[in-house]
Amino acid sequence: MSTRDAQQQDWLDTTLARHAEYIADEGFTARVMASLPAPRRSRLRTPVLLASTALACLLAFVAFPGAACLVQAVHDVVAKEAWKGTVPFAALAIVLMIVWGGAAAVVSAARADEGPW
Amino acid sequence: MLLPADAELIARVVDHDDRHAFAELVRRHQALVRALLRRLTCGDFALADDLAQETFLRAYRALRQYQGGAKLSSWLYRIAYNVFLSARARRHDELGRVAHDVPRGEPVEAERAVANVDVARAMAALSEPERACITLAFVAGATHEEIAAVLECPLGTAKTHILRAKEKLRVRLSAWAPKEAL
Repeated sequence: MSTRDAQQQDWLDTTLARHAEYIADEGFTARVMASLPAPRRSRLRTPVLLASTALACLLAFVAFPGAACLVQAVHDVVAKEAWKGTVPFAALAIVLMIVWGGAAAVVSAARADEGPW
Repeated sequence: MLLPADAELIARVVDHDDRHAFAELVRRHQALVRALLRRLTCGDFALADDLAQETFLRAYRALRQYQGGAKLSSWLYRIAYNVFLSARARRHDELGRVAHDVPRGEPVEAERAVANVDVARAMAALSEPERACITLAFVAGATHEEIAAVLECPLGTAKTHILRAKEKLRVRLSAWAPKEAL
């Protein structure tokens, strides 16, 4: 290759390389991640949840005298007028549980967005 | 902090559907995949980004089939090129004849902006395989072997594309050549 050929080669390579500038992400990765299909759940998730629920029910049944306490509780609630006073507290408890669940979900999502790096 | 290698991230995605790992892979490779598609679409940035997004979506779905024999970047370029060819087929060959405006983004000095337009125009005048080869070589820094693998063509054909492309570019960009090279 002559010197002139080499010079021609050099300036062309330099020109092409100079115009291969880096492209900043600018939200591209986030758009790609948003377009991915929903995360797949483990196949074991449903059986594990059902089994643990059944186990908890069984433990409760064994720990207490059968269903007698449940029957008694229902009987007491129906029979007494006093239970009506507990309704606001029960409602408050339910609201608090919903708020707590929502907050936990938001924190979990925020952590997921941060990523490990 | 030492970042995990591509292979480790791929294993996390395949084994545990780890979205953070996939996001990191996208962050690492987005610039070159988008640059390739910008060149292939002759500067249509919006379309190039749509195709790049489709590229990574296909890559996510096919990641289990990635054998690890080729570099991940080469595998992604191959997907990107196939996505481009599919889009072109859908649009009845409209792609590759898009306007060659000054690339958007940060303001650059006038001379560089003009040079950018000239390079974009010169690239647009190449045949599609030539444009793909020259982009892979100069934007992605791919070897001739990698280029042949991406385009699924013989090594000799890839080399010929590059030689012809450079000949055409040398003529079209002669205004930018130093006097001693002419």
